Amino acid sequence: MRVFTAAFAISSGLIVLLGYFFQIPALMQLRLILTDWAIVIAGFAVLIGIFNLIAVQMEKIRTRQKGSVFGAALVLSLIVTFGFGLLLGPEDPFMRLAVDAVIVPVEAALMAILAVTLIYASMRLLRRRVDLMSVLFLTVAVIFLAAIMPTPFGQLLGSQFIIDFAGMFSRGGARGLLLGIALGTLLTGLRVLFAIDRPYGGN
Amino acid sequence: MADIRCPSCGKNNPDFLDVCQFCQTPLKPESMVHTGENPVKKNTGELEPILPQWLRDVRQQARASAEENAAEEAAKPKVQKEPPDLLAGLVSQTREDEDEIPDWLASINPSTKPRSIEAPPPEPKPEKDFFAKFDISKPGQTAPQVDEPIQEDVPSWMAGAADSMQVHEEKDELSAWLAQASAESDKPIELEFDGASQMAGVDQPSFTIKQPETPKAEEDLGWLHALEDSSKGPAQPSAPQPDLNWAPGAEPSQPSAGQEDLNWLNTLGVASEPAAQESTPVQSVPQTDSPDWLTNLDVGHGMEAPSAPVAPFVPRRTAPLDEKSSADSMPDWLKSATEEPSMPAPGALSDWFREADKPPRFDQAQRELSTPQSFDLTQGKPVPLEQGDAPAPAESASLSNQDIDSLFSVTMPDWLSHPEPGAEGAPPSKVEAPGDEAITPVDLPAWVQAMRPVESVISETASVENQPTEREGPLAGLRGVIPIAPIGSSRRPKAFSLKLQASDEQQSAAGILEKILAGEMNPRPLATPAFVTSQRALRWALSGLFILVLGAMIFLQTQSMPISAALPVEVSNISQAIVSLPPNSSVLVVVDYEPALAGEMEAVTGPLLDQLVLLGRPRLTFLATSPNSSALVDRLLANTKISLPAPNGLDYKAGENYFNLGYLPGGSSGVLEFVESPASAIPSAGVHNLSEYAAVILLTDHAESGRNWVEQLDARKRIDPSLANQPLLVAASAQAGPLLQPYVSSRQVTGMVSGLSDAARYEFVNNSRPGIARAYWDSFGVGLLMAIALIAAGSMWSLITGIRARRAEAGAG
Repeated sequence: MRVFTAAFAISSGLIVLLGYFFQIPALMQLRLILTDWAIVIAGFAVLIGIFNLIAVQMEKIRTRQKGSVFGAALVLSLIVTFGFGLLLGPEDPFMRLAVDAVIVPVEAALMAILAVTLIYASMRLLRRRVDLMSVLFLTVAVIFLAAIMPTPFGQLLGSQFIIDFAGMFSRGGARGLLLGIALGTLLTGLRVLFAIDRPYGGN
Repeated sequence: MADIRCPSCGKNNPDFLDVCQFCQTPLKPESMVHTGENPVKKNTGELEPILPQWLRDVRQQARASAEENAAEEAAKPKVQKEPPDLLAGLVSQTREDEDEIPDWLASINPSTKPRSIEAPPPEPKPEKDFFAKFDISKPGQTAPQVDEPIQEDVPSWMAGAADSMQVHEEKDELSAWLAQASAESDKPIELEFDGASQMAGVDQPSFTIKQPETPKAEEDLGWLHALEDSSKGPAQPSAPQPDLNWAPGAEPSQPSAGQEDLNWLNTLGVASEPAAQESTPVQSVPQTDSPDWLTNLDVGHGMEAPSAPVAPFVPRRTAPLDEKSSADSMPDWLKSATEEPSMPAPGALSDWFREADKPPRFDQAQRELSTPQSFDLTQGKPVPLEQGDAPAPAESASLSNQDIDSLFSVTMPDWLSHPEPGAEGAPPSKVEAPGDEAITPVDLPAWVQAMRPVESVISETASVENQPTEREGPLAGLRGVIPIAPIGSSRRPKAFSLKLQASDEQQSAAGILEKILAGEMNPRPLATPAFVTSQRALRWALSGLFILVLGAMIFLQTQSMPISAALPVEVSNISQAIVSLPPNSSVLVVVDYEPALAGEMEAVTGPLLDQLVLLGRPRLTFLATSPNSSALVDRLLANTKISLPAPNGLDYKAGENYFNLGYLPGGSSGVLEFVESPASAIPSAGVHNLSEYAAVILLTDHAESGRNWVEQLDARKRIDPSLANQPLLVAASAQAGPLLQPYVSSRQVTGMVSGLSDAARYEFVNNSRPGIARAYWDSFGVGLLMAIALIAAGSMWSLITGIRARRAEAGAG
C-alpha cells in the first residue's frame, strides 16, 4: 500500500509538472482530472474540518468542560447558519446580515485589538530589553509611520524620501522571502517527486 | 585402650586416632608435618574393602568409563587448560619440580621420620628397570635395617607397607583411623621371593606375602567378605589370591580373611610406583609374572630407566579389626557408611567423583608414577636407584602449580580410581621419565575452587620460603600452598563505606544544587500584582483613547487633512489598464481577503471598481478563494456604491451585471484548474478559457494567495498567447503590498493599489469616488499620530523605568 501511494503521488506530480512544459492534449486532460480530484478532496477537507469542529465542541458539552457554553453557542450558530445557507442561499439578505452584522465586526474588532496590542508592546519593549535591535526597530517604525502619516499640512518634509528609502529595504526583504519560498517549494516538490518526503503517508 | 585428650577441645579420643574426632586437631605431634619436613606417602590401599558402598559404586562406574575414554583421551594432545587453579601461588616454582613425585603420592606419603631401620648406602648401579633391583637381592635375604626415611624414595604402595615398621605412622586423613583399626597385628606382611618362578626363567620378581597370624575380627569383617565376594564373583580365586595376583607363585601366608583385605593391591599397582622397599627378604621374579599394573606402567614408556637394588620389600602391616577397633572406635561417619548407604546413588554423586575417575587423570598419574623410578628428583637426572631407597619428593623441592592441580585432580588414590586389572601382564621392566609433559589440569570441584586462594592474597603474602609447610592433609609437606591469611576472609569482599567520599568543594557544590532544586520546588509568589494592574489599566486606557478619538473623527467626518494628487506608478498603471479595457467586457474579480480586513480592502478596492464600472460597464465575475470571501462580495459592491441603485449608486445587479461564482477550493490547485479551464473548475463560470476575461482583478490581503494567482496566471500567459495582453490588477492591503511589490516591479502584475494611502490618492484623482478612502483619511492620520506619540512616550518611559528597576535590583544585590 505504501508503494502504491508513493507511486501514485509521484506520477501525479510528474504529470502536472510535465503539463507546464508539454502541451499534449492527453496529458492536459489527465492533468485536469488530477487537479479536479484535488479540488474535490480539498472541498471535502473543509467539510471534514467543520464536522471535526462540531465533534470537539459536542464532546466539551457532553463532558461539561469549561467553556462548554460557548461551544454550545458555536454549534448552535453553525447549524442555524448552515441550515439557512442551504435553504436560502448566500445571497439572501438574512445571510448577508449575518456576515455584515457578526462576522465582519468581530474580525475587525480583533484587528483593532491587535493594533492596540502592537502599540502597547512597542511601548513596553524598552523596559523588557534595551539593545540596538530594539531601539532600531522602534526608531524605524516611528519614522515610517510618521512618513506615511497624513497631516493637516500635507506630508512631512522628506517623507517621500523616507518611504522610498524604507521601501528599498522592504522590497529587498520581500524579494528575498519570495526567492526563499520559491526555492523551498522547488525543493519540497522534488523531494515529493523522488519520494523522499511522503506527506501523503507512509513516512 | 588408652584415651588421648585433645589439646584443643579437651575431649578424650581413642589412642589410635591421629586427629581429634571432635575438632580435628592433631592429637599426636608426630602426625603432623612440621616445618621443613617432607611430605611422606601414606598407603591407604588396605582400606579399600571397607569403603562404603557408594564409593565402591563410583569405582565401578569409573572402571566402566575408563576403558572407553582411555583411548581417545590418550590420543588427544595434551592441552594445557587452565582451570580454576587452586594453587596459583606456586607458579613461581621451578620447572624441574614438575618432574618429581606425583602429587597425589606426595600428599599421601606419611611424614618423614627417622626410623630404626637403617638401609645400606645406595649403590649407584644402573639397571634396566626398577624391578631389576630385585634380582640383586638374594632369596631369603633379610632386608637391611634402614635408618633414613624410607618414604622419600618409596612409592606409595610400597611406602604404605614400609610404614608399618614405624612406631609412629603418618597417615592421611582419609585412612588414618582405618589403618589403625585394621592394623592390629604387629607382624608385618612378608613377601617372599618365589624361587620357583625365578627358576622358571620369569623375569618379573615374584613375592609371597607372609603375614603373621592375626586375630580375626569376624564380626567386623563380615561385611567386607560380602563386599569382596560380590565384587569378585565366584570365578575369583580364594581370598588371598587376588591380593597377590601380581606376584604369581606367591603363597599366601595369611588367613584368607586377612588376605582378602589386600585386594587393593591389584589396583594399587596399576597406578603406583613399582619401586618398593622390603622389610622382608625379597627375591626377584621374572617380569612376565609381574602384575598387570606393572605391565601398564611399561606400556607407553619405552625409555629405559636405571634400576638399582632396593631394600627388601616390606609390606605394610595390616591387621584385621578386632574388638577394640569395632564399633566403639569407629567414627560415626563410617558407622553410617557401613550400616546403611548414607550417600546418594552413584548417579547422583557430585562431579568431583566423576572427575576423579576420568581416565586422563589416571594416565597422568600413571606417568608421574614412573618418574621417581628413573630420575633423581633432587638432581633432575636419571640415577640408579639404590636398594632400600624409593623415590620420594625432595626435601626442598616445591611442587609446581600443575602438580598441585594434579594433586587435587587425583583426589582419590589410584587404587580407588583405577580399574582392577583383570589379566596379568608383564610388569614394566623399564620405566620412563615423564619428560616435559605437564600434568593436565582438571576441573576442580566447587568446594575446592571455593577454597582456592586468591592470587592477590598470595602476592601480598610473603615468599614461599617464608611460609609454613603444611603438616597434614593432602597438602602435607607443601610450602606456601595455603596463604597465611584465612581464605574465607580473603575472598570476602572488602567492606566499602556507603558514605560518599566527596571533597569539600564537591560538597559545597552539592549544597548549592540542593538549594537550587529546593528553590525550584517552592512556589514563587508573584511579586508584581500592582504592576499587572497598571498594565491592564494601561491597555484599557489605550483602547479607550483610540475609541474616543477615532470615533469622534469618524463621527465628525472631518476632511481636514489634504491628500496628495501624485499617484504612484503602480496606481497609474491600474488606471491606464482600466481605461484601455473594452466596454462591456467581462472582468474576473478574485476576492481573497478576510472579513477582518474588509474595511481596508473595500476602501482600497472602491476607487478601482468605481472607475472600472464608470468607464466600461463591464460584467463583473466574482470568485472567492477564501471561504468567507464569497459572502463579502455583496458587501463590497454595496459599500462601494456599485450595487446601489442610481442616483447614489451604479445600479449593478447580481446575475445581470455581476456574478458571484462562490468559493474555489483547492488553493493553488484550484487556481491552476480555473486558469486552465474555468468551466471545469466552476461550471457556472460560463467561460471555457481564461482569455475570455478582459482583465483579472485580484483583491487580496494575503501575500500567499496573491502569489498563487500571480504565478499561475503568468505561467498560463506563457502557454496561451491570447493571455498576453490580459492585465492583472491587484488591490492589496497595506501588509500584503510589500510582498507583492516585486511582481509589480517585474511586470507580472500590471498595477497595484496597496493600502489606504494609495487608495486615497487614487480616489482623489478619481473625483473622490466612492469616498470611502477619503472618509477614513483623517481618522487614519490621527490614529497614526496617536500611535507614534504613544510609542515614543511609552518607550521613553519604559526606558527610564527599566533603568531604575535595574539599578534597584543591582543595589539590592
